[in-house]
Amino acid sequence: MDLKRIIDYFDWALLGVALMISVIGVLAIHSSTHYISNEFYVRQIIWIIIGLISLFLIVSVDYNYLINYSPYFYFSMLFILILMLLFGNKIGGSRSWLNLKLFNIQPSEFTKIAIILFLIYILSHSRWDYISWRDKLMGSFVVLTPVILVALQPDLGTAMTYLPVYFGALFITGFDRKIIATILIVLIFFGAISWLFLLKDYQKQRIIVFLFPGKDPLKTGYHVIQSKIAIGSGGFLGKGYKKGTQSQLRFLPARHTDFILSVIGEEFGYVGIFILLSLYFLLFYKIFNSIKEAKDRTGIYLVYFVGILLFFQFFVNGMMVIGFFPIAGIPMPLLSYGGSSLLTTYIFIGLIINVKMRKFIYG
Amino acid sequence: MNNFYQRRARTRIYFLAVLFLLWSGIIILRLIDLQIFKHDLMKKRAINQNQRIVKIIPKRGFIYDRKGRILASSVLKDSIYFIPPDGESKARQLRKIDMINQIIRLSDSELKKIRERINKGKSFIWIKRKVEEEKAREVKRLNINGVYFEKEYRRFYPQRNLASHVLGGVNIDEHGLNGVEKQYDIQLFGKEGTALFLIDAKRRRYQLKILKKPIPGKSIMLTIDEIIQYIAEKELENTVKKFEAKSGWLIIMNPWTGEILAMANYPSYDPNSYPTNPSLERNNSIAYIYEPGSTFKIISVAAALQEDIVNERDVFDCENGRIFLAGIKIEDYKRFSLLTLPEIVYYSSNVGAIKVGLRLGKEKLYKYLKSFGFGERTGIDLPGEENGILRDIRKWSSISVGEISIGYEIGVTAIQMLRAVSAIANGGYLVTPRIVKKIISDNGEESISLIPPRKILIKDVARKMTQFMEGVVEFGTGKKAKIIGYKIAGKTGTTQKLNDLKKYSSDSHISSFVGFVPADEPVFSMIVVINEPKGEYYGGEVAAPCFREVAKKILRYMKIFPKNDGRKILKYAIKMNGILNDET
Repeated sequence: MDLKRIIDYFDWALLGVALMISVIGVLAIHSSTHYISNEFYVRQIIWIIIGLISLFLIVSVDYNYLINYSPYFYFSMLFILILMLLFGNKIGGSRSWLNLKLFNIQPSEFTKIAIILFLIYILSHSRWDYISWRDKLMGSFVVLTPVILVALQPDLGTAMTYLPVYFGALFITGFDRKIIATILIVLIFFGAISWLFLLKDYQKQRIIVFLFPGKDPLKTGYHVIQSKIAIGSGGFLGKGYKKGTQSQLRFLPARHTDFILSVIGEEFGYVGIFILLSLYFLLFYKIFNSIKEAKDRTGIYLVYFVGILLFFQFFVNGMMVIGFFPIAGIPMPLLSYGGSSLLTTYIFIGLIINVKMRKFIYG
Repeated sequence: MNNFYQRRARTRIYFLAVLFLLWSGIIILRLIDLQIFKHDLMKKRAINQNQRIVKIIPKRGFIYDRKGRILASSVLKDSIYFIPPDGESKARQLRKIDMINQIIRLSDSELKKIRERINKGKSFIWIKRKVEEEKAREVKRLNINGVYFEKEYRRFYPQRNLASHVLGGVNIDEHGLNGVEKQYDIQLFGKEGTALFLIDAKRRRYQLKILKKPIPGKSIMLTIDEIIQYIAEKELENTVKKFEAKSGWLIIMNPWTGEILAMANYPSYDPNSYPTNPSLERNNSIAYIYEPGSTFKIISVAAALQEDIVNERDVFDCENGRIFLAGIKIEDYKRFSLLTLPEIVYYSSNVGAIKVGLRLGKEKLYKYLKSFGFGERTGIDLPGEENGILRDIRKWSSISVGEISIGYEIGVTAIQMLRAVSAIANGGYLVTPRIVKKIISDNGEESISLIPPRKILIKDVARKMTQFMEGVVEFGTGKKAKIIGYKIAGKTGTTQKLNDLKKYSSDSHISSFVGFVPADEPVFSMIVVINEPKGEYYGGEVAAPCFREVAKKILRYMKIFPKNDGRKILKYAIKMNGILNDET
């Protein structure tokens, strides 16, 4: 490990942008929970530190090495997910939490890393010029198996975030009309199956409320309406830090987790949320721009898949907060309260920096 | 080849990145829509949700008796409410309510309402408003999560049932619903203030600022004397109980000014737990219309005297105690033969009084009924006063003059009767009864302007009538009202009540006694009405003794001692023994 290389090619700017977003997140978490407990933002800070340590550990190992060992990681994750389904205790209605005495973790978050690495492992073993049907099929299994396991917890929101990675993979390997059609059919079939068997009533309700808003303003739609009121009442300049009535008076649900963006919209106004979104654009710009610096196909895939996955989370959460997407239970990466999501995101950023750092090393 | 595929992949990725950027544009545009174009609307919705303008109920003015003793006050009490904590099971919530119920003992209907609200999953539930201090403290000591307290003013009547009908009572929002509380509600209540509150999603309130300060109500001083009121109530209760009567009422008035010194009704109620039973809350002293019977002979005889149609030396043939009015027989309780005018009053002869009335005639009798104020409210400053019933002269039948002369076919209230008799006591003036002496605010006192009394009898007639009424007590039907050492003027009345079939019943009566003390220099006038006594029913037997007991105690309280000898005896007793015992 060459220290000079780290300093030369380590993308401090990317890490800096990520950290800035996280710091804004800590402030918003503090604002929306200080009247309940100080525990939340302190925990978030601790997780950021853990995330940074993990990031530096990830950077120190060549990503191809990680990809080579990914099958072990992937199957261990599947094993854990199965065990949780069989023996897990329900917390908040789902078996998505693993109790580690000191804190709870959400294995479905770390599964994201396993899926991406293992998918690259499979795709990169095919020939350079195309991805075979066999690989595509295997890829679909690699993604869909954890999708089903997590959806059964039931945590549909997190399960949904795995899918874009697979579609991204198909997209990049060619616009095969037959494949697109097949996928659509599979999707519709899967959709119908899940509506009938997999989706819980509250999830169906969410989708109905999304499709027909205003139908029940005080029940499921309450979240979206409150979010819109919070953001809208914030106006151009916002109400000021810790002065957002809707979040301080607890009208806004899931303030420090899924709806943290609404807190920022209310307290810092359009200006604040615009600055925050600009930071995200900068983040994604830097991520997608890193692709041209990737030295090999695994590198391209890695940056690309991570970019897609993070963007999907960002986009769905953003759309949800403004009432354009059903409430999916997907946190805002880097911003929302939650250690597992935060740690996973920092590991992802570490992987991207990892790819960029090793751009000139061949072999 | 490899490079080609990598390039193609890169192109596609950039294409995708641009697509992502465009999608994100949706979010940005929507934010502009929400935060700039819909800002006002959303702000309004936020304010609707999180701000409430809450009324502040001011401290209600106190009510004092004429000597400044507190009859009604306002104290801060705790109101208890419950906001179910997040995710708490309904069973647990209900258990909490049970715990509190152990202390504050809710009524079944209150409990049912609370349980209903819990089962409906309401986020804000009143448990009990304005709870007793020690109970609230006990509940506070339990320290139950989700149970909150708020201070509110509560009306407190330290003397409980005393003067309940005069005071009335207030509702939970501190507005008077009866009695003086209702009549003077505007002054007592003050002016409501407003405060801006922030309300959170669980309906917890946080006071932000006071928009309008509440103005406390003014206090009121009554003409009532607490001690006299107490004496009156006690004796009235004794009498009603002794004769197993349905109810009774008693008014004591200063005959010169119309100030009410006591107004008692039995049964009474505790205004602290107002409202109670509507039938209990009616102030019969001013709202119960009855036929006055023989007490009314005072009116007909006074009228005849003033018109100079009769004089005290006139003798009337009482025809052995029976007279026929258009074929209807009216009897006396005794077979009187010849009676002088005063004797008609002393012994309360129906036949004699009818003859006086007939001599007076329809028009003149009607004129006096009007001038004595019958058939219309006295104007006392209390709600719920009745007009009484005085039929228009054109509707009178052939027997009406005779009937009215002896107090039938006319409906009066006790306050009307007392006022009429007070006109005799004070030398001929019809006063307006008053219950409020003055209104007291921080800026000073404001006396209630008295309505000037109206002269209705010449002094001589009043004097003669007083003598007649003294005779009633001295040796007539009202002997049981006699107090040794004092001159008492009075008149008994016994009326058969109309039953459901509009027939006079022989087993339900109203016994009354009206008079004033001392007769030559009246300090107070008093009326006692006992409704449906059992066994004895003559006014002289039922109401007169009550009158005497009350009068005796008041005279002692007012330090009015027997004329001539009384004061001397007292002074002598003090000089000799140095002791002033209760029986002097």
